[in-house]
Amino acid sequence: MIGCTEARRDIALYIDHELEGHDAIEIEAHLILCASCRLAYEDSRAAVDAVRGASPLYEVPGSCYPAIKKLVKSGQRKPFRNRWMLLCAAAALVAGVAIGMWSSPWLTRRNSTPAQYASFAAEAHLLYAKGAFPLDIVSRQPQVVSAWLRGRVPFHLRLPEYPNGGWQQKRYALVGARLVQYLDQDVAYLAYEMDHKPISVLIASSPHLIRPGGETYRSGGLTFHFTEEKGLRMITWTDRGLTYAQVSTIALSGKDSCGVCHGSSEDRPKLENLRPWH
Amino acid sequence: MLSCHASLYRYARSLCGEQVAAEELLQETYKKALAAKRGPAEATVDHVRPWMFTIMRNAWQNEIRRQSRAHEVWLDDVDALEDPDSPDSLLTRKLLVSEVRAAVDSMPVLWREIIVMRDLEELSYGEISSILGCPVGTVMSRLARARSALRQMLVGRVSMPREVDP
Repeated sequence: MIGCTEARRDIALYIDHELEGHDAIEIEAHLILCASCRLAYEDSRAAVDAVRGASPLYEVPGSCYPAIKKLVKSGQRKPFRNRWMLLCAAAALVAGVAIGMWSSPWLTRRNSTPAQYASFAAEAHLLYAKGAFPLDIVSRQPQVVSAWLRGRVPFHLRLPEYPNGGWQQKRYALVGARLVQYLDQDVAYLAYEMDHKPISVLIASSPHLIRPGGETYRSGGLTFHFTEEKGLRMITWTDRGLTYAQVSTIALSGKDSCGVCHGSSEDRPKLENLRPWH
Repeated sequence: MLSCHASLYRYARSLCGEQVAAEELLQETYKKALAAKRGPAEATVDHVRPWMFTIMRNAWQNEIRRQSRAHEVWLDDVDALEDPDSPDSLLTRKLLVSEVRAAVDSMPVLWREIIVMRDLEELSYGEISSILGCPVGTVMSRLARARSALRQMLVGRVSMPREVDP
Protein backbone atom coordinates (compact mmCIF):
# COMPACT_ATOMS: atom_id res chain seq x y z
CA MET A 1 0.00 0.00 0.00
CA ILE A 2 1.42 3.37 -1.00
CA GLY A 3 1.61 6.33 1.37
CA CYS A 4 0.46 9.92 1.02
CA THR A 5 3.80 11.08 -0.45
CA GLU A 6 3.64 8.59 -3.32
CA ALA A 7 -0.08 9.18 -3.82
CA ARG A 8 0.36 12.97 -4.11
CA ARG A 9 3.22 12.43 -6.53
CA ASP A 10 1.14 10.14 -8.74
CA ILE A 11 -2.19 11.99 -8.74
CA ALA A 12 -1.39 13.80 -12.00
CA LEU A 13 -0.34 10.53 -13.62
CA TYR A 14 -3.55 8.88 -12.47
CA ILE A 15 -5.72 11.72 -13.80
CA ASP A 16 -3.90 11.60 -17.13
CA HIS A 17 -4.34 7.80 -17.46
CA GLU A 18 -0.57 7.31 -17.39
CA LEU A 19 -0.79 4.77 -14.56
CA GLU A 20 -1.69 1.21 -15.39
CA GLY A 21 -2.46 -2.07 -13.65
CA HIS A 22 -1.09 -2.43 -10.15
CA ASP A 23 -0.01 1.22 -9.88
CA ALA A 24 -3.49 2.46 -10.73
CA ILE A 25 -5.09 0.05 -8.25
CA GLU A 26 -2.67 1.18 -5.52
CA ILE A 27 -3.58 4.83 -5.86
CA GLU A 28 -7.29 4.07 -6.14
CA ALA A 29 -7.10 2.10 -2.90
CA HIS A 30 -5.25 4.95 -1.22
CA LEU A 31 -7.78 7.53 -2.41
CA ILE A 32 -10.63 5.50 -0.97
CA LEU A 33 -9.00 5.39 2.45
CA CYS A 34 -7.33 8.81 2.66
CA ALA A 35 -9.70 11.79 2.74
CA SER A 36 -6.88 14.32 2.44
CA CYS A 37 -5.40 12.78 -0.73
CA ARG A 38 -8.89 12.28 -2.08
CA LEU A 39 -9.54 15.99 -1.68
CA ALA A 40 -6.27 16.78 -3.48
CA TYR A 41 -7.26 14.40 -6.27
CA GLU A 42 -10.75 15.91 -6.59
CA ASP A 43 -9.29 19.41 -6.73
CA SER A 44 -6.82 18.48 -9.46
CA ARG A 45 -9.52 16.60 -11.32
CA ALA A 46 -11.80 19.65 -11.11
CA ALA A 47 -9.04 21.95 -12.46
CA VAL A 48 -8.43 19.59 -15.38
CA ASP A 49 -12.17 19.28 -16.06
CA ALA A 50 -12.57 23.07 -15.95
CA VAL A 51 -9.88 23.53 -18.62
CA ARG A 52 -11.14 20.66 -20.77
CA GLY A 53 -14.71 21.91 -20.40
CA ALA A 54 -13.57 25.30 -21.70
CA SER A 55 -11.87 23.73 -24.72
CA PRO A 56 -10.74 25.04 -27.15
CA LEU A 57 -10.21 27.99 -24.74
CA TYR A 58 -8.71 30.20 -27.45
CA GLU A 59 -10.79 30.61 -30.61
CA VAL A 60 -8.63 30.68 -33.70
CA PRO A 61 -9.09 34.03 -35.53
CA GLY A 62 -10.74 33.70 -38.91
CA SER A 63 -7.83 35.43 -40.64
CA CYS A 64 -5.39 32.85 -39.37
CA TYR A 65 -6.12 29.86 -41.57
CA PRO A 66 -6.08 31.65 -44.98
CA ALA A 67 -2.72 33.20 -44.11
CA ILE A 68 -1.22 29.87 -43.10
CA LYS A 69 -2.72 28.08 -46.09
CA LYS A 70 -1.20 30.69 -48.41
CA LEU A 71 2.13 30.30 -46.67
CA VAL A 72 2.11 26.51 -46.97
CA LYS A 73 1.08 26.64 -50.61
CA SER A 74 3.78 29.13 -51.49
CA GLY A 75 6.31 27.03 -49.59
CA GLN A 76 5.38 23.91 -51.53
CA ARG A 77 5.05 25.51 -54.98
CA LYS A 78 7.79 25.13 -57.54
CA PRO A 79 9.24 28.47 -58.74
CA PHE A 80 7.96 29.84 -62.00
CA ARG A 81 10.47 30.32 -64.77
CA ASN A 82 9.18 33.59 -66.06
CA ARG A 83 6.59 36.27 -65.61
CA TRP A 84 4.41 34.99 -68.49
CA MET A 85 3.98 31.64 -66.85
CA LEU A 86 3.08 33.36 -63.61
CA LEU A 87 0.44 35.48 -65.35
CA CYS A 88 -0.99 32.46 -67.18
CA ALA A 89 -1.18 30.52 -63.92
CA ALA A 90 -2.88 33.44 -62.18
CA ALA A 91 -5.45 33.70 -64.98
CA ALA A 92 -6.09 29.96 -64.88
CA LEU A 93 -6.48 30.12 -61.13
CA VAL A 94 -9.03 32.95 -61.34
CA ALA A 95 -10.98 31.08 -64.03
CA GLY A 96 -10.76 27.86 -62.06
CA VAL A 97 -11.99 29.49 -58.88
CA ALA A 98 -14.87 31.13 -60.77
CA ILE A 99 -15.90 27.82 -62.37
CA GLY A 100 -15.45 26.03 -59.08
CA MET A 101 -17.64 28.57 -57.26
CA TRP A 102 -20.33 28.17 -59.92
CA SER A 103 -20.42 24.40 -59.82
CA SER A 104 -19.29 23.53 -56.31
CA PRO A 105 -21.89 21.93 -54.05
CA TRP A 106 -20.36 23.92 -51.19
CA LEU A 107 -21.93 27.06 -52.64
CA THR A 108 -25.05 25.67 -54.31
CA ARG A 109 -26.15 23.78 -51.27
CA ARG A 110 -29.46 25.51 -50.72
CA ASN A 111 -31.19 23.26 -53.30
CA SER A 112 -29.17 20.25 -52.41
CA THR A 113 -29.99 16.67 -53.34
CA PRO A 114 -28.66 13.53 -51.66
CA ALA A 115 -26.23 13.21 -54.57
CA GLN A 116 -24.85 16.68 -53.80
CA TYR A 117 -24.52 15.81 -50.15
CA ALA A 118 -22.55 12.71 -51.12
CA SER A 119 -20.32 14.87 -53.29
CA PHE A 120 -19.95 17.36 -50.43
CA ALA A 121 -18.91 14.58 -48.04
CA ALA A 122 -16.39 13.24 -50.58
CA GLU A 123 -14.93 16.72 -51.12
CA ALA A 124 -14.58 17.23 -47.39
CA HIS A 125 -12.73 13.91 -47.13
CA LEU A 126 -10.42 14.73 -50.03
CA LEU A 127 -9.63 18.15 -48.58
CA TYR A 128 -8.88 16.63 -45.19
CA ALA A 129 -6.69 13.96 -46.76
CA LYS A 130 -4.72 16.73 -48.52
CA GLY A 131 -4.25 18.60 -45.24
CA ALA A 132 -6.41 21.49 -46.44
CA PHE A 133 -9.30 20.97 -44.05
CA PRO A 134 -8.05 21.84 -40.57
CA LEU A 135 -9.70 20.40 -37.50
CA ASP A 136 -11.10 22.67 -34.81
CA ILE A 137 -10.25 20.18 -32.11
CA VAL A 138 -7.60 17.48 -32.15
CA SER A 139 -8.25 14.75 -29.59
CA ARG A 140 -8.12 10.99 -29.36
CA GLN A 141 -10.71 11.01 -26.59
CA PRO A 142 -14.33 10.54 -27.70
CA GLN A 143 -15.67 12.21 -24.56
CA VAL A 144 -13.56 15.33 -25.17
CA VAL A 145 -14.73 15.62 -28.77
CA SER A 146 -18.33 14.95 -27.70
CA ALA A 147 -18.07 17.73 -25.11
CA TRP A 148 -16.63 20.09 -27.72
CA LEU A 149 -19.47 19.37 -30.16
CA ARG A 150 -22.13 19.92 -27.51
CA GLY A 151 -23.85 23.23 -28.17
CA ARG A 152 -22.04 23.67 -31.49
CA VAL A 153 -24.26 21.35 -33.51
CA PRO A 154 -28.07 21.29 -33.34
CA PHE A 155 -28.15 17.75 -31.97
CA HIS A 156 -26.67 15.79 -29.13
CA LEU A 157 -23.86 13.47 -30.11
CA ARG A 158 -22.05 11.06 -27.83
CA LEU A 159 -19.14 9.39 -29.55
CA PRO A 160 -18.62 5.81 -28.42
CA GLU A 161 -15.47 4.66 -26.71
CA TYR A 162 -14.70 1.75 -29.00
CA PRO A 163 -13.99 -1.03 -28.34
CA ASN A 164 -15.34 -1.04 -24.79
CA GLY A 165 -13.16 -3.89 -23.53
CA GLY A 166 -9.75 -2.63 -22.48
CA TRP A 167 -8.05 -5.79 -23.77
CA GLN A 168 -9.13 -5.22 -27.34
CA GLN A 169 -6.82 -3.22 -29.52
CA LYS A 170 -8.38 -0.39 -31.47
CA ARG A 171 -8.15 -0.81 -35.20
CA TYR A 172 -8.84 2.84 -35.80
CA ALA A 173 -8.47 6.00 -33.77
CA LEU A 174 -10.31 9.26 -33.45
CA VAL A 175 -8.22 12.24 -34.57
CA GLY A 176 -10.57 15.15 -33.96
CA ALA A 177 -13.47 17.15 -35.29
CA ARG A 178 -14.58 20.37 -36.85
CA LEU A 179 -17.77 22.07 -37.92
CA VAL A 180 -18.76 22.54 -41.52
CA GLN A 181 -21.73 24.38 -43.00
CA TYR A 182 -24.22 22.52 -45.18
CA LEU A 183 -27.80 23.55 -46.00
CA ASP A 184 -27.32 26.50 -43.66
CA GLN A 185 -26.81 24.17 -40.75
CA ASP A 186 -23.76 23.07 -38.84
CA VAL A 187 -22.66 19.57 -39.71
CA ALA A 188 -20.23 17.64 -37.50
CA TYR A 189 -17.13 16.43 -39.31
CA LEU A 190 -15.27 13.67 -37.46
CA ALA A 191 -11.80 12.57 -38.52
CA TYR A 192 -10.56 9.07 -37.80
CA GLU A 193 -7.36 7.33 -38.78
CA MET A 194 -6.56 3.71 -39.51
CA ASP A 195 -3.16 2.53 -40.73
CA HIS A 196 -2.31 6.20 -41.40
CA LYS A 197 -5.28 6.48 -43.74
CA PRO A 198 -8.01 9.01 -42.99
CA ILE A 199 -11.65 8.07 -42.48
CA SER A 200 -14.23 10.87 -42.47
CA VAL A 201 -17.66 10.81 -40.88
CA LEU A 202 -20.13 13.63 -41.50
CA ILE A 203 -23.22 13.88 -39.34
CA ALA A 204 -26.10 16.14 -40.34
CA SER A 205 -29.42 16.71 -38.65
CA SER A 206 -31.45 16.25 -41.84
CA PRO A 207 -32.73 12.68 -42.44
CA HIS A 208 -33.26 13.29 -46.18
CA LEU A 209 -29.69 13.26 -47.40
CA ILE A 210 -29.26 9.54 -47.93
CA ARG A 211 -28.13 8.60 -51.39
CA PRO A 212 -30.05 5.49 -52.48
CA GLY A 213 -28.53 2.83 -54.69
CA GLY A 214 -25.37 0.80 -54.48
CA GLU A 215 -25.26 -2.15 -52.14
CA THR A 216 -27.82 -1.96 -49.36
CA TYR A 217 -27.65 -3.86 -46.09
CA ARG A 218 -29.83 -3.89 -42.99
CA SER A 219 -28.80 -4.51 -39.42
CA GLY A 220 -30.33 -3.58 -36.08
CA GLY A 221 -33.18 -1.68 -37.72
CA LEU A 222 -30.78 0.51 -39.73
CA THR A 223 -30.29 0.52 -43.49
CA PHE A 224 -26.78 1.08 -44.80
CA HIS A 225 -26.10 2.21 -48.36
CA PHE A 226 -22.69 1.46 -49.87
CA THR A 227 -21.86 3.67 -52.83
CA GLU A 228 -18.87 5.21 -54.56
CA GLU A 229 -18.22 8.92 -54.95
CA LYS A 230 -15.18 10.50 -56.58
CA GLY A 231 -13.41 7.16 -56.37
CA LEU A 232 -14.05 6.91 -52.62
CA ARG A 233 -16.07 4.37 -50.69
CA MET A 234 -19.09 5.88 -48.99
CA ILE A 235 -21.46 4.37 -46.45
CA THR A 236 -24.58 6.37 -45.57
CA TRP A 237 -27.35 5.66 -43.09
CA THR A 238 -29.88 7.47 -40.95
CA ASP A 239 -30.44 6.95 -37.27
CA ARG A 240 -32.79 8.88 -35.03
CA GLY A 241 -33.20 11.77 -37.44
CA LEU A 242 -29.50 12.15 -38.24
CA THR A 243 -27.77 11.33 -41.50
CA TYR A 244 -24.35 9.73 -41.32
CA ALA A 245 -21.91 9.63 -44.23
CA GLN A 246 -18.66 7.73 -43.80
CA VAL A 247 -16.00 8.23 -46.46
CA SER A 248 -12.76 6.36 -46.90
CA THR A 249 -10.50 4.71 -49.42
CA ILE A 250 -11.15 1.24 -48.00
CA ALA A 251 -11.78 -0.63 -51.24
CA LEU A 252 -13.90 -3.54 -50.07
CA SER A 253 -17.48 -4.40 -50.82
CA GLY A 254 -20.28 -3.73 -48.33
CA LYS A 255 -20.11 -6.22 -45.48
CA ASP A 256 -16.38 -6.76 -45.84
CA SER A 257 -15.64 -3.05 -45.41
CA CYS A 258 -17.55 -3.05 -42.09
CA GLY A 259 -15.33 -5.89 -40.95
CA VAL A 260 -12.23 -3.72 -41.30
CA CYS A 261 -13.19 -1.68 -38.26
CA HIS A 262 -15.75 -3.95 -36.63
CA GLY A 263 -14.06 -7.30 -37.07
CA SER A 264 -13.51 -8.02 -33.39
CA SER A 265 -15.18 -10.95 -31.67
CA GLU A 266 -17.32 -8.44 -29.78
CA ASP A 267 -18.74 -7.03 -33.01
CA ARG A 268 -19.01 -10.27 -34.93
CA PRO A 269 -22.70 -10.82 -34.05
CA LYS A 270 -23.57 -7.38 -35.46
CA LEU A 271 -21.81 -8.20 -38.72
CA GLU A 272 -23.47 -11.60 -38.94
CA ASN A 273 -26.83 -9.83 -38.67
CA LEU A 274 -25.97 -7.56 -41.59
CA ARG A 275 -28.29 -8.71 -44.36
CA PRO A 276 -28.47 -7.64 -48.02
CA TRP A 277 -31.60 -5.59 -48.66
CA HIS A 278 -33.31 -5.23 -51.98
CA MET B 1 0.61 20.16 -41.67
CA LEU B 2 -2.37 22.47 -42.11
CA SER B 3 -4.62 20.32 -39.97
CA CYS B 4 -2.52 21.22 -36.91
CA HIS B 5 -2.97 24.95 -37.28
CA ALA B 6 -5.70 25.32 -34.64
CA SER B 7 -3.67 23.36 -32.08
CA LEU B 8 -0.60 25.39 -32.92
CA TYR B 9 -2.48 28.68 -32.66
CA ARG B 10 -3.68 27.76 -29.16
CA TYR B 11 -0.15 26.88 -28.11
CA ALA B 12 1.13 30.13 -29.64
CA ARG B 13 -1.58 32.01 -27.77
CA SER B 14 -0.50 30.36 -24.52
CA LEU B 15 3.12 31.36 -25.13
CA CYS B 16 2.52 34.91 -26.31
CA GLY B 17 -0.44 35.79 -24.13
CA GLU B 18 -2.17 37.77 -26.86
CA GLN B 19 -3.62 37.29 -30.34
CA VAL B 20 -1.45 39.39 -32.67
CA ALA B 21 1.85 38.02 -31.39
CA ALA B 22 0.39 34.50 -31.47
CA GLU B 23 -0.54 34.88 -35.15
CA GLU B 24 2.97 36.13 -35.94
CA LEU B 25 4.52 33.23 -34.06
CA LEU B 26 2.25 30.79 -35.90
CA GLN B 27 3.37 32.15 -39.27
CA GLU B 28 7.00 32.08 -38.23
CA THR B 29 6.59 28.46 -37.14
CA TYR B 30 5.15 27.41 -40.48
CA LYS B 31 7.94 29.23 -42.33
CA LYS B 32 10.55 27.39 -40.27
CA ALA B 33 8.76 24.04 -40.69
CA LEU B 34 8.57 24.48 -44.45
CA ALA B 35 12.24 25.39 -44.60
CA ALA B 36 13.35 22.57 -42.29
CA LYS B 37 15.69 20.03 -43.85
CA ARG B 38 14.45 17.21 -41.63
CA GLY B 39 10.79 16.57 -41.03
CA PRO B 40 8.96 14.40 -38.51
CA ALA B 41 9.45 10.63 -38.56
CA GLU B 42 6.05 10.11 -40.18
CA ALA B 43 3.58 12.42 -41.88
CA THR B 44 0.76 11.72 -39.43
CA VAL B 45 -0.90 14.09 -36.97
CA ASP B 46 0.71 12.21 -34.07
CA HIS B 47 4.20 12.97 -35.41
CA VAL B 48 3.73 16.32 -37.14
CA ARG B 49 2.03 18.05 -34.21
CA PRO B 50 4.77 17.57 -31.54
CA TRP B 51 7.41 18.31 -34.17
CA MET B 52 5.76 21.65 -34.95
CA PHE B 53 5.22 22.41 -31.26
CA THR B 54 8.98 22.03 -30.81
CA ILE B 55 9.67 24.37 -33.73
CA MET B 56 7.23 26.89 -32.32
CA ARG B 57 8.74 26.79 -28.85
CA ASN B 58 12.26 27.23 -30.20
CA ALA B 59 11.13 30.15 -32.37
CA TRP B 60 9.41 31.75 -29.41
CA GLN B 61 12.43 31.25 -27.14
CA ASN B 62 14.72 32.82 -29.71
CA GLU B 63 12.44 35.81 -30.00
CA ILE B 64 12.25 36.18 -26.23
CA ARG B 65 16.03 36.07 -25.97
CA ARG B 66 16.35 38.54 -28.81
CA GLN B 67 14.02 41.00 -27.19
CA SER B 68 15.35 40.29 -23.69
CA ARG B 69 11.86 40.53 -22.42
CA ALA B 70 11.76 40.53 -18.65
CA HIS B 71 8.09 40.70 -17.86
CA GLU B 72 7.38 37.01 -18.33
CA VAL B 73 8.46 34.54 -15.71
CA TRP B 74 11.26 32.40 -17.08
CA LEU B 75 12.57 28.97 -16.20
CA ASP B 76 14.66 29.76 -13.17
CA ASP B 77 12.10 32.02 -11.52
CA VAL B 78 9.19 29.66 -11.52
CA ASP B 79 9.78 28.14 -8.08
CA ALA B 80 9.17 31.51 -6.49
CA LEU B 81 5.61 31.41 -7.74
CA GLU B 82 4.78 27.92 -6.69
CA ASP B 83 2.92 27.37 -3.50
CA PRO B 84 1.73 23.79 -3.43
CA ASP B 85 0.80 23.92 0.24
CA SER B 86 -1.87 26.59 -0.07
CA PRO B 87 -5.37 25.75 1.15
CA ASP B 88 -7.34 23.51 -1.15
CA SER B 89 -10.78 24.11 -2.47
CA LEU B 90 -13.13 22.21 -4.66
CA LEU B 91 -14.44 23.50 -7.93
CA THR B 92 -18.09 22.80 -7.49
CA ARG B 93 -19.81 24.72 -10.22
CA LYS B 94 -19.41 24.90 -13.92
CA LEU B 95 -17.04 27.66 -14.85
CA LEU B 96 -17.55 30.02 -17.68
CA VAL B 97 -15.06 29.71 -20.48
CA SER B 98 -14.11 33.36 -20.05
CA GLU B 99 -13.28 32.78 -16.39
CA VAL B 100 -11.09 29.79 -17.22
CA ARG B 101 -9.38 31.72 -20.02
CA ALA B 102 -8.76 34.69 -17.76
CA ALA B 103 -7.29 32.40 -15.10
CA VAL B 104 -5.05 30.60 -17.59
CA ASP B 105 -3.95 33.92 -19.12
CA SER B 106 -2.95 35.25 -15.73
CA MET B 107 -0.61 32.31 -15.09
CA PRO B 108 3.13 32.45 -15.77
CA VAL B 109 3.92 31.30 -19.27
CA LEU B 110 5.61 28.08 -18.11
CA TRP B 111 2.44 26.92 -16.43
CA ARG B 112 0.19 28.23 -19.14
CA GLU B 113 1.97 26.31 -21.89
CA ILE B 114 2.03 23.03 -19.99
CA ILE B 115 -1.70 23.29 -19.19
CA VAL B 116 -2.44 23.96 -22.86
CA MET B 117 -0.20 21.16 -24.07
CA ARG B 118 -1.57 18.52 -21.70
CA ASP B 119 -5.14 19.48 -20.85
CA LEU B 120 -6.20 21.06 -24.13
CA GLU B 121 -3.99 19.49 -26.76
CA GLU B 122 -3.57 16.16 -24.93
CA LEU B 123 0.08 15.70 -25.73
CA SER B 124 1.63 12.84 -23.79
CA TYR B 125 4.13 13.39 -20.98
CA GLY B 126 6.83 12.06 -23.30
CA GLU B 127 5.91 14.48 -26.08
CA ILE B 128 5.83 17.43 -23.69
CA SER B 129 9.15 16.37 -22.23
CA SER B 130 10.64 16.33 -25.71
CA ILE B 131 9.17 19.71 -26.67
CA LEU B 132 10.32 21.38 -23.45
CA GLY B 133 13.68 19.61 -23.44
CA CYS B 134 13.34 18.50 -19.83
CA PRO B 135 12.87 15.17 -18.00
CA VAL B 136 9.40 13.63 -17.66
CA GLY B 137 9.67 14.10 -13.89
CA THR B 138 9.93 17.85 -14.40
CA VAL B 139 6.89 17.76 -16.66
CA MET B 140 4.95 15.94 -13.94
CA SER B 141 5.89 18.28 -11.14
CA ARG B 142 5.39 21.41 -13.21
CA LEU B 143 1.99 20.19 -14.39
CA ALA B 144 0.91 19.40 -10.83
CA ARG B 145 1.95 22.88 -9.68
CA ALA B 146 0.27 24.54 -12.63
CA ARG B 147 -2.98 22.70 -11.95
CA SER B 148 -2.81 23.52 -8.27
CA ALA B 149 -2.24 27.21 -9.06
CA LEU B 150 -5.01 27.20 -11.64
CA ARG B 151 -7.44 25.68 -9.18
CA GLN B 152 -6.68 28.38 -6.65
CA MET B 153 -7.06 31.10 -9.26
CA LEU B 154 -10.39 29.71 -10.39
CA VAL B 155 -11.63 29.49 -6.83
CA GLY B 156 -10.57 33.07 -6.24
CA ARG B 157 -12.30 34.32 -9.37
CA VAL B 158 -15.66 32.70 -8.88
CA SER B 159 -15.84 32.44 -5.07
CA MET B 160 -16.71 28.81 -5.24
CA PRO B 161 -18.04 27.14 -2.13
CA ARG B 162 -16.05 24.36 -0.62
CA GLU B 163 -17.43 20.94 -0.01
CA VAL B 164 -16.74 19.70 3.49
CA ASP B 165 -16.56 16.04 4.38
CA PRO B 166 -19.13 15.15 7.07
